[in-house]
Amino acid sequence: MTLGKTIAFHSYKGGTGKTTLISNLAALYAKNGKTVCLLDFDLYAPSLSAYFRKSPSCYLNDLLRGEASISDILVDVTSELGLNGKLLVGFSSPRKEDINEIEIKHELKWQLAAMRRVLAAKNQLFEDSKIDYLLLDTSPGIRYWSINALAIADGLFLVMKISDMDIEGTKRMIKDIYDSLTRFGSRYYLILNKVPGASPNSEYFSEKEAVAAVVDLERDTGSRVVTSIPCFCDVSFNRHEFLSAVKQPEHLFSKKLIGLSEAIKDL
Amino acid sequence: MQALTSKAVRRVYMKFGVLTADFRISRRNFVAVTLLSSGTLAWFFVVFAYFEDIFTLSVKVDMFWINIGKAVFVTSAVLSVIIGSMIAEKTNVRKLLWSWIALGLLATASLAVFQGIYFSLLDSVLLGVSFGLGFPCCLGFLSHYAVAEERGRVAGAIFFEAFAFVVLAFLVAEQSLISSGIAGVIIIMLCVGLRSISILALVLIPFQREQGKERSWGSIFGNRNLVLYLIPWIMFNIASGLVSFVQNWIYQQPNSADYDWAFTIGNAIHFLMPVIFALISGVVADRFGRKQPIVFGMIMLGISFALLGSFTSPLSLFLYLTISGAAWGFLIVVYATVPSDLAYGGSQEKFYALCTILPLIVNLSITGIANFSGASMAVTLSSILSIIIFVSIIPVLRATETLPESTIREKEAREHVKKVEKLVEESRKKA
Repeated sequence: MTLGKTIAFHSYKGGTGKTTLISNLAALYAKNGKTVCLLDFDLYAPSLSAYFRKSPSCYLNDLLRGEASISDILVDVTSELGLNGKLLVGFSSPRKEDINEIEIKHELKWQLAAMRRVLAAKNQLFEDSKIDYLLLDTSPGIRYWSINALAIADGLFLVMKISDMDIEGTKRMIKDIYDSLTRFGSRYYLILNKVPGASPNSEYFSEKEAVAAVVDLERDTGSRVVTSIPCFCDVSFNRHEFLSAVKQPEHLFSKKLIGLSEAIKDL
Repeated sequence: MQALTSKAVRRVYMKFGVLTADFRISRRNFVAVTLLSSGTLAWFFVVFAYFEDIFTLSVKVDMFWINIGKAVFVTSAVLSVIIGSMIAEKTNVRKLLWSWIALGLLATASLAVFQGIYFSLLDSVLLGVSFGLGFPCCLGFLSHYAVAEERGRVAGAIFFEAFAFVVLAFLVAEQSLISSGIAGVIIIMLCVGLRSISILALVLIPFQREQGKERSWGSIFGNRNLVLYLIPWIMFNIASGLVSFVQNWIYQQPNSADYDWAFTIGNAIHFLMPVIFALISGVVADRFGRKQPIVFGMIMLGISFALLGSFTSPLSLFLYLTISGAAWGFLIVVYATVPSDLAYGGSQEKFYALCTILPLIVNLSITGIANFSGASMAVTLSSILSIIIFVSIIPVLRATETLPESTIREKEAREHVKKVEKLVEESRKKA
């Protein structure tokens, strides 16, 4: 019986900050002594290898094809980051031919075979490697490998910006697939990211409106907003933001992430 | 036995329930929209098939005048389809439909009372008008009451009902022709009954027409996608009509008696196949898109023509009739769906007049000419028609799919979720 938690971060649109949040979260848990595995399931537009600046010999794609085991694809970044626990990262291949292969391989037989390998790998991670958290970064929108990753998660976190487009799109996506995904016990929550108001020029921003929007959102989606993270230019628009939650623990962004990590622990 | 039967019925109902689980159209609207069109469509086929019987109840009319009457019936249907598609945009739709049904009932019932050459010709006009004037409007309601992702199945239900009514009507009519001296009266009563089905629909809901953007015929003809979709359908109907000349050729052969069983059983199955394949076509059109059933139907027809042309025998004739019946089921449903997709809520009646109804009437006209003239063409025509049919698939492959891609993707995603969840659940149980 697996004791650890599997958490997936998803979004309706790209650019909501999923990868930044989940990478920082993974590092935070590892800094606090936990054993964490972070997998890049954004197979259509992989970004973790650029974020961590790694070019491993084996990728998640090889695991899906049955050409590599989970231990082959994981890269241990614990010591170079000076973490107390353990952080293992599995990357997706940024090679064009590998992305194309994923794009065109829709046949169910292949998908299910690949899923069986992922499930076997997940069991191995929890039972043999005794990981505490398995974190999955996914592709935005409704795509086969987003659905596959969300299906194996215990907790689904929808990361969104507080714009009308994002809100409406997220509501639609929840109605289309989330209700099916949560039939077997997993639950979904909302994370509001890049919320305006942290900027000094905030005379156009009404906190009252933002609160009202959150209340409406929770009511319309039937879910809970677990945290609301303000928009920080030095985080969102830094050319190479890297694990700010670990490197700058006093930053408000880091404090928000700590809050999120506590909230996830308690869920 | 009873338990087994009710279990089977429940299974069929559940399967049907699964096929309609995502319907947004209410049950009431579904029944009304399907009944409005199906009864009249069945009426049209029955009147056309038994024209001679209903026009010669008490007065013997020469075959020449019967055929002229048929031609007048079809011609007035064609003209009134065009007029009906134009006036639907400008008039109160409920009044139009009630008047249209009343005219149909009157024109049909009066056949039992008035007979003779002059009345036959007048009534042929009225019968044609009573079909064409309101029928584009009836099909046009598909665009208002059914969303894109369910339109195929609703159209499939219309044709399922229509062909089922036709089969039942044929069974009753044939029985009465064999055993009764008042066969013509029974057939007229059947036709009145079929037309009355539309009244049920009008009682169920107050049909309303969405006022969309009015389009000219020029802009409709200029729609590239429409033309690409229309080409295969027109070729299908022309080819299906022309094969009547080949059937005449078979009739005229010395060994034509060998073909009797193929004609009798084959024609019966030819009308049964659309009943089944109309529903299948609707499901495929809503799940995979409109182009796939068109390609299936055209390939099936092409194969059936090739069989008939290459290996002419009672068996190949039987197979042609069976397979072409299935092809009809596939195609007619899609061509009742695509006009709504392309109309985008404006002038849908004109789209239906052009795309659905007129090509059908072309088919009937060619068949009528073949039957009237008795002219024949050698069976090699069938092989040529098969090549033309296969080539006609090309335009629709170039056309843009009218079922929104997002709808196809959403359905694929939902089905994928179910399968993946099952796998994950199995894995959790094992762990």
